[in-house]
Amino acid sequence: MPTVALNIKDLMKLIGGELNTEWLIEVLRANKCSVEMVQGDDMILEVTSDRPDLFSAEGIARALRSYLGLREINHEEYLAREYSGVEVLVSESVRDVRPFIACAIVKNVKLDDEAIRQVMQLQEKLHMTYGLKRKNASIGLYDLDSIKPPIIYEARRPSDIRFRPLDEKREMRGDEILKYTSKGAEYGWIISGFDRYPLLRDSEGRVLSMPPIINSEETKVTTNTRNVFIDITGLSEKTLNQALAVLVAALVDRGGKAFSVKVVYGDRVVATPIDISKEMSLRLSRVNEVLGVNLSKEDVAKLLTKMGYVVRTEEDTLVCKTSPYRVDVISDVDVIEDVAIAYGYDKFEFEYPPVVTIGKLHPKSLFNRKLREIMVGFGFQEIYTYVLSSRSVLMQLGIFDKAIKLGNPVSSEYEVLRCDLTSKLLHFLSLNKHLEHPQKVFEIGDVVVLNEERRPVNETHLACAISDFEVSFEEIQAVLYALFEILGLEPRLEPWEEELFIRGRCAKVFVNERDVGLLGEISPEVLEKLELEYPVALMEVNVDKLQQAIEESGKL
Amino acid sequence: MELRESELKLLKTLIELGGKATITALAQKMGVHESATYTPLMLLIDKGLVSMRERTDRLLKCTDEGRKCAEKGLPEERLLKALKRLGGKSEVSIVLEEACIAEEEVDAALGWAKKRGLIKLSSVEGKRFIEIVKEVEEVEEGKILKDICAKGTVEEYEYRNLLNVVSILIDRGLLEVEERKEREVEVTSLGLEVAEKAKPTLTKLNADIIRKGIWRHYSLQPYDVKAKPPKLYPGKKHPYLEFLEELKEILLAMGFEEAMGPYVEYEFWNFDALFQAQNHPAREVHDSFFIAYPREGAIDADQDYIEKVKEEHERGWGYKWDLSIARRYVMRSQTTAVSIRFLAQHKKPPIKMFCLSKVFRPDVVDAKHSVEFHQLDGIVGDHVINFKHLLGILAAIAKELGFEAIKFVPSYFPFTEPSVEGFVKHPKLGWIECLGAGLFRPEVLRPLNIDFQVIAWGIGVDRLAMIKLGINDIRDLHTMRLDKLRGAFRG
Repeated sequence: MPTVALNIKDLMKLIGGELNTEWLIEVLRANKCSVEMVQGDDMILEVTSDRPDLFSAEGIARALRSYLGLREINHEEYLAREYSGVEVLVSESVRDVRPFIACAIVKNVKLDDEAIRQVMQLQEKLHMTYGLKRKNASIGLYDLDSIKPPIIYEARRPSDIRFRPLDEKREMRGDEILKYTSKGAEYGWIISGFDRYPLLRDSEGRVLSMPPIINSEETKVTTNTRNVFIDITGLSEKTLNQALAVLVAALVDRGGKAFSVKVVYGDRVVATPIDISKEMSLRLSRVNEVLGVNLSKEDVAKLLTKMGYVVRTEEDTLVCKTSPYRVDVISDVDVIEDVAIAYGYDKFEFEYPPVVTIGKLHPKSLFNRKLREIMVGFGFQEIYTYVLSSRSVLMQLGIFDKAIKLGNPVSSEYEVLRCDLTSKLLHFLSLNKHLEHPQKVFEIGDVVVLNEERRPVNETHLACAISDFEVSFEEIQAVLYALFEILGLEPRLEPWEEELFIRGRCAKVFVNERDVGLLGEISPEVLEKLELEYPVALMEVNVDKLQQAIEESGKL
Repeated sequence: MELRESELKLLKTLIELGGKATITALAQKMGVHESATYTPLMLLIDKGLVSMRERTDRLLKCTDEGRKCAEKGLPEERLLKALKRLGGKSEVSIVLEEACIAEEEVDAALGWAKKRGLIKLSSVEGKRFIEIVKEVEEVEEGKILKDICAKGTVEEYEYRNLLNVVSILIDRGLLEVEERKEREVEVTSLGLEVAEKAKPTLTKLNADIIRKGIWRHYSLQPYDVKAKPPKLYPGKKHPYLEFLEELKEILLAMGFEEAMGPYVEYEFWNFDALFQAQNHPAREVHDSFFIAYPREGAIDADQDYIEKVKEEHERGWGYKWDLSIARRYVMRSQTTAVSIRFLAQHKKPPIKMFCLSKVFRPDVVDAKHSVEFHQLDGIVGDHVINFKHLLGILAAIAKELGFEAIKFVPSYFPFTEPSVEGFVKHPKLGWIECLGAGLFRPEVLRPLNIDFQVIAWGIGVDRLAMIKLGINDIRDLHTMRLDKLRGAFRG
């Protein structure tokens, strides 16, 4: 979830009222903002990712203002009903690299330092979430008075791009910007594969920005800026329009008035920002069904107004128009959630579901329970290890190649999916060799292997090991026979050779011609590799196969 | 009186040896080293059954001179033999020469022979003659000397009847005496009495002893019952898994059916079926684990269902849905994948399912974070189900888990709406965030042709397990330390 930092005084100013901090925290939490930290006037909160309109103080204040009934939201304020007269001409050349742009102008804003901080934060949070780290959408804000429209959006060869990037001391070429600026290093991958980079310039050739990397120093927004030009470039027009609506709303809350811009794609002309609000039809009965409440149309309308909707009623239906900066409303349930939020989650009664069913464990769980009972009865200590395993242990045991690996591990400790439990038990014993012997341990758990169709599937295994000053094959064999006898199975052992085990002291276990496992004494070479000083006898069986065999035999 | 087996054995041996013996003799008879007799002996002495005193033994052995005489004969013997060869009477000087008697031996030879009345000396015309009076093969001193010389060292006690001869040999410098101190033990009259009556004791009873009735002749030795026994490590179940079993019991009692699913999922089941857009940040490389090989496979779902999921994505999120992304393998990052798989197989209400299993997410591993943890997912589906039931079932689970209160706040998950986040109240730790829940979105249910409400939740159980087990490091839930598992399991 995105974290948002804000200043409580600034927030109160935007809300237009005073709330004590405790009350504020409660109200925020009821509106999808959970406060993580308060220190003096500074507050850090987490906002759910579906609500980009709450990624800055302006949006949060707007929501609370309405929720608390201080001032209803006037949709018109946030819409650009007048044309600014500014055109953005989109060149064919951007089609492959970054085809779309949406722009807006907000005039007469009052930006103090905190307001600039909030707008920058909003821009950054939108980049990270909606913009998918700027790939999908990147935003630029400029001082309109430093630009001469019309504005041209085109793609140019990196060597033909030349301007002074934000916070840099000198002019740089496009390729230099990717190489030498921190933003270039961070986001360069988005455009570095193209031979032309996107560029936004004005009619006099003044560069506004090289999207999605960096703006120019010359056109940047300061506390003196009164009129702001906003551009958002990206891959999907829908995303651009949504992000633009959120930004325009924030600037409007800083005293501005929004004006539209004409984006000219050859023959196609789009006036942005567009009104993204939606009309959702909501049956009253559905609201009451989903929430389990008994609200009237008027109740629901009142609650939704608190949440920024404009509601009109038609017989049993409420037609709800979303605020022009809400991007999260897809279905009627999204509106219903807003009804629930306005109603207050803490006001709902708890009702146990009147759904009568019979509980049952998965057959595998039942069988595992039985196996655990038996193994504990044999005097084995149960262990429970991670599925993700260490590369080095599997390498030592020579089964690294066989195991399925993660494509993006975070450390070599947790790099491989275990394909057996034997390696886990041996690793466990090696970490406990200094403790008193005998050591008898077992684990029942899932391993991941490729099936015949080369698909990674879970297999449940049971493995147990005995380690003592002296251990014999017979000791582990006795465990196997006792286990199988309890399960009503008859094991057949065939001599087997496997590097892990002493030659001549290893056997494969068959039940009804089905290969179900392996047992033996671990070879001294392997013991030495793991620095184990006490001998180990061990067995591992496939629990799924045992269960199949039992089902086939009709016993148990 | 209680006698240990070792005490009784010693006592009886001593009696066999005539009631009195040196420790050396005793140990020899018992067939043990002398040091082994020490403990039982002291115990017997303490009990007044045996007494001990020190004795000094005199040992005899030949001197160099004595050995010479034992070999060649005593001087007087040699004199007699020579005289016999010379016909029984001869001149002294001739006899001495014949007998090879050295000058210094002359006095001893003539003196001892005369003293025993074996010879007679006479003078004729100024010449001195010797004459045999009594003929003997050997003299007694010679015999004893040879005897002792052959044995090397002997106790004087052995020659207690010939002490006069021995003392002559000592006086003549042919034998010497060495003194040795020896401890001697002797059974007391009480000892004799006890030995008569006592049964030996046994430390351990065994099958032979019982079967053959041997125990009747023994008494069992008492133990120090306060002494600490050897350590015992019984077979035990893993405490964390026991906690998970408890959770399952709660769900079972509420009528839920358990479901399972694979660790390696298709992105389809992990995300797409849950209306999580293909460009959703959770699907990025930092938030989900992918498989190096194989990277993708054929989705195990109906074609028709996949098609409908695609439609929902394209309509709801407004992007071009890509089958090749849905085909990719991912480590299951939410057990809700199991819930949706279950729903796809069970479309008729009533439905109550739970899944308690592992999920995997990239993270920096430390005391609070793990790459592998447990979730308890559940769904309830029926025509009568609503939001209040969601809160109700979660409140019931929290209560069963022993939490006094639960509260809910709005939240967001791509697959539920309304969505809630739940906090349970712990007496010491306060409100603990532990679950996410909601009603499955219509975009999730429509492709399955499900027309009733389904409530769903996921509880992060590791945190609860840590509280319950009193551990502070999440890694201890999968501890690799046997001592922790053998003990009371505390972090």
